[in-house]
Amino acid sequence: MAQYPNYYPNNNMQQMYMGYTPMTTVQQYPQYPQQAIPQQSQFQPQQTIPQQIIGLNGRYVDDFNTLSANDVPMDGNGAIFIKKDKSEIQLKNWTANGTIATTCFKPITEQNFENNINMPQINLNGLYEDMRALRGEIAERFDRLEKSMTNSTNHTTNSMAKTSVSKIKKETEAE
Amino acid sequence: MNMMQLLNALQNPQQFAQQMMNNSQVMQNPMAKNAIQMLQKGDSQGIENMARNLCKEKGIDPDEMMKQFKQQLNIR
Repeated sequence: MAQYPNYYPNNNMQQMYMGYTPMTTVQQYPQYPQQAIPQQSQFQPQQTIPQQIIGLNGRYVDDFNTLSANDVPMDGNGAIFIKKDKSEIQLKNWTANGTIATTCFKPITEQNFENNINMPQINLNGLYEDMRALRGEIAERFDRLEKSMTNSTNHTTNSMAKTSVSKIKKETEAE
Repeated sequence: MNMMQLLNALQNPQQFAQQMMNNSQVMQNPMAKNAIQMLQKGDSQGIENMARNLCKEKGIDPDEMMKQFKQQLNIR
């Protein structure tokens, strides 16, 4: 077997590749033209738009007693703290006189709703209707009373007239 | 606000209050707005009450804080 000339005297790999043509190995990694290489200097810096944080201040807490005044932001916006068991929500914010105002929100459960039903509540519309009915009844009774009094007065007058007439008749008869 | 600004504010509180009134960011804060209004009116008692409330909420002794403040400014 004819041996190829040793173009790479230090490269023993040449002998392993018998059909190896040295011309193809000059540039194993073709270089890209320089224009195609993306250069960062050609890029224009992107304008960073300041991101506005849209949301609420606050966090979930195990116990509201763990909160301190530093947890409430002093920028005028309040902070919402939610208990992890969802039993209560507290809204805290600094007031104008330097104190922290706390507003508590509690969910309305079925048990609480039943308790509210048993509480005495004033039904104004029903009360007004009752008053109208009572007024009508009182007026009706007054009318009846007035009629009865009128009748009794007439009866008394008539009876007195009859007795007087009968007396006169008797007197005339007696004469 | 650095110490120099604070010193300038103490020297001329009216001017300081006017500068703060022109700052929209400050005027959006109800506590700051109330403090500046009291400063303009000269309501020192109101400002002191506000400071005491703040210290109470933060768990700070207001008298001790005032003492340290005076020490920093070398005021007797």
